[in-house]
Amino acid sequence: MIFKRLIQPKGVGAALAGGAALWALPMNVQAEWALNLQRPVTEIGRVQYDLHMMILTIITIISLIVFGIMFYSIIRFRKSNGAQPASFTHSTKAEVLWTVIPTLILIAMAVPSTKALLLMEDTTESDMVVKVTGFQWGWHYDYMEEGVNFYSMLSTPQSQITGDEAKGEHYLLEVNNHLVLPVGKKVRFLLTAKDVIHAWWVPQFGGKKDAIPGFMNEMWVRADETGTFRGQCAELCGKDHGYMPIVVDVVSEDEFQAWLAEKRKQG
Amino acid sequence: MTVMTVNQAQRTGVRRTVTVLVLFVVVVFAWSIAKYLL
Amino acid sequence: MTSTVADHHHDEVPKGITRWLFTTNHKDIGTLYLWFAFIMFLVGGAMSLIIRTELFQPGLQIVNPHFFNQMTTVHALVMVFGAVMPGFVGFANWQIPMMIGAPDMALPRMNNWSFWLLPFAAALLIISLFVPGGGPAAGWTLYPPLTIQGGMGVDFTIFTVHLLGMSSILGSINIIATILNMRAPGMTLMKMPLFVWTWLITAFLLLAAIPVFAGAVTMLLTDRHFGTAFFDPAGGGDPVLFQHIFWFFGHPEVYILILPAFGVISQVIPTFARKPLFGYTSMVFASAGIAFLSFIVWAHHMYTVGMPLSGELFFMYATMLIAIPTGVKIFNWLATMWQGSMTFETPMLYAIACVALFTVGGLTGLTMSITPADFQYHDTYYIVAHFHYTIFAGSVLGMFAGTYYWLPKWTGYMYDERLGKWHFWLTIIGFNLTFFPQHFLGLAGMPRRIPDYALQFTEFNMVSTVGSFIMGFAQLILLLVVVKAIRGSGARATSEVWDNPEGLEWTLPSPPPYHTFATAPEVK
Repeated sequence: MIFKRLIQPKGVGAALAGGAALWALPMNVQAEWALNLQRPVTEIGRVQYDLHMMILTIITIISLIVFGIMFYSIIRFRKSNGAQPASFTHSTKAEVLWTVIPTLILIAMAVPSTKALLLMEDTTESDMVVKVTGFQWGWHYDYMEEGVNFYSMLSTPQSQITGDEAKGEHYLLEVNNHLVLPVGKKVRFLLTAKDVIHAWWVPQFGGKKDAIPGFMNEMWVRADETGTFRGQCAELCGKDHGYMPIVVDVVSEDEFQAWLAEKRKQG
Repeated sequence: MTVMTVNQAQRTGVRRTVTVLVLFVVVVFAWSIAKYLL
Repeated sequence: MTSTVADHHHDEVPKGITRWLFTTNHKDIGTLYLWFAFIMFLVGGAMSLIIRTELFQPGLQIVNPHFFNQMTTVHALVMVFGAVMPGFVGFANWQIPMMIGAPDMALPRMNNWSFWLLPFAAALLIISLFVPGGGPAAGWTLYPPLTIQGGMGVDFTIFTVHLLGMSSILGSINIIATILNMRAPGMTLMKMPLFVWTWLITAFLLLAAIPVFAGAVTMLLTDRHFGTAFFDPAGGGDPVLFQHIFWFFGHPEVYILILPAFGVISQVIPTFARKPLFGYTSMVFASAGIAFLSFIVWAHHMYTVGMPLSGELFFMYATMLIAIPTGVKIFNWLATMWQGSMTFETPMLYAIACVALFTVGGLTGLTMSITPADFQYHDTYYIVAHFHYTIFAGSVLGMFAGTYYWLPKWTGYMYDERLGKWHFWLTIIGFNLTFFPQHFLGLAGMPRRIPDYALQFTEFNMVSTVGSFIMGFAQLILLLVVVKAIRGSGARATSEVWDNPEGLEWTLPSPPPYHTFATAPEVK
């Protein structure tokens, strides 16, 4: 009975349309009830976002088909309606169709995915390099060609965590020293760690890579717009894994040079 | 106390199966360590 | 020529505690596994409620971060190794001999030992929470170097894994030996119930995968205490090596968790659709195909580790491939329902929900197979949502379906259908409230394994926590259902229990005698 009420065509249609509309928009990064990936600010981030939306659409259609067949069967083929059971156990045609069609869909998905991966892994011809070292519990940034390096650690006060003080707007996503990058430049990141495995992740950049002690990983980012972007450590690294965020300021080339000069003076 | 009727063919079959499987387990375990030692 | 391992009192069921300690009877051992699994399920569930309570709001309210990490770690270990795996072994023990017309498992004494290893393993794991330094807190995946840092709780966990592994290996040998050698004459492999097929395949997966896991944790132990440097870069080792070894076990492990559930569903749906299973042969081949493929996809758990491009591409394509045999199985179940004559008693409700919700998990798995996209999902709540849809909605709902389906056979009494339906609806509603929002949390940027989070994640975390309490307390209804059935407070169950079900177990009385099929039945 419940099924009948749930599948009134109008209600379902409205819900689906509304859901689809929400689903299609990348979210304001600090929105509550966010349903989707954060708005990307790099080409890679956009490529990932589009790939995600394409696959999401495909799987939504597939699940609608599967649930549709299921609910239709539940309503139509029930004993209480007098349905008589058929006895078929085979259909070569059906089996071939539902093997071949998914295979074709997969191949169609694999092509743009391969292209995206090739783009992501191409760290050549970068404009600058930054070495990132994860440690328990914070990040160290080293602009290797500029002679600037510093630690970046959580700046949210303990009293906010324990609830003795009201939480600030960027609770757990604020640090004492921001990473600063110039807009529009291909930045090559070298990642490693001091103690255990960490991972550096800024969702809006579409970049995440493990930082592994004793090894050097690489990743690249080219931010297309200025602004402040926040991320977190993405590999369990001990008790304060949830307390070592990342904050990046992307600024104009001039501002970046000025900031570098200031940092060098500070020694 | 169990009552089980097992004929000779089944007994032999069980023994053979167990021998093969135990060997398999030992080999896989040893391989997973040896492979990474070499 | 037959030889009888004889006993004069073969109709008497032993009594008292010694019955349970020394039993070699597959029905008793099945019961032991099932109760053990249920208790572990409640223990693991309690841990998840601690986790969800802490995550109800941002800030730290009830636990400190180190204890939170112990909870997430031990919750997973208990659920995977204490609840799901022993639960399905319990089903295997009860059902396989009856379904193939065998008097018992091939190696009944080893069967006993396989079970009794488990309470000791569980005790070690629980005790680890109370030793100095606390229990393991590196996630159930136990990655070094973090696990090298851990206190003696990690060593307790390693020994737990050794004991659990031994139990699984012995159990698998027993299951394979039983299925290959003790089928009633006339029951060819292609006439076996699908539940038996899926367990045959699962047992082979266990034999190939568990020793590798044992090797990995043994290397952790020697790195921690015996001067080796398998995973320590300072000594020339590689932390990523552990990940490769772990996931070479870990991926087949998740198919070990799900294949028996697929087997249960393949028994339940035909019964309540009053229609034979569609495509028996392709179901067998699809299950075997899934098992084979499961060995060549492991690195999709490690896409962000810094793998060469060719590796990333290979694992992406191989992982996408698994969608095909899995899809075949889903479509075959749908085709079984199609043009059937269905009724919706509790087992069928669970079987249908299992197929529907596992499909959700399987489809998010497809999104995760795409390497570039996975860089945004990896180590976020999107992954947590995915594996709860596959493991809870797949494996656990499958076990619930099997429990309601076979409980009248095991106890001789019908369970309370009204309570069963309450259990079902509260579980399904609670489950979806708990885990569907976690997809959104992951996409929005919330990492996993954190005790505290930025403000924008608050709303969905609250919804998730509310859902988890509904889901958690609903399981007490199942306890009530089982206890009532055992005590015989429902109608007496017939041999057939349901409407003309297929399978040798339904030719036996409910409950079946202590010893069944001492003489092999005739199988046409």
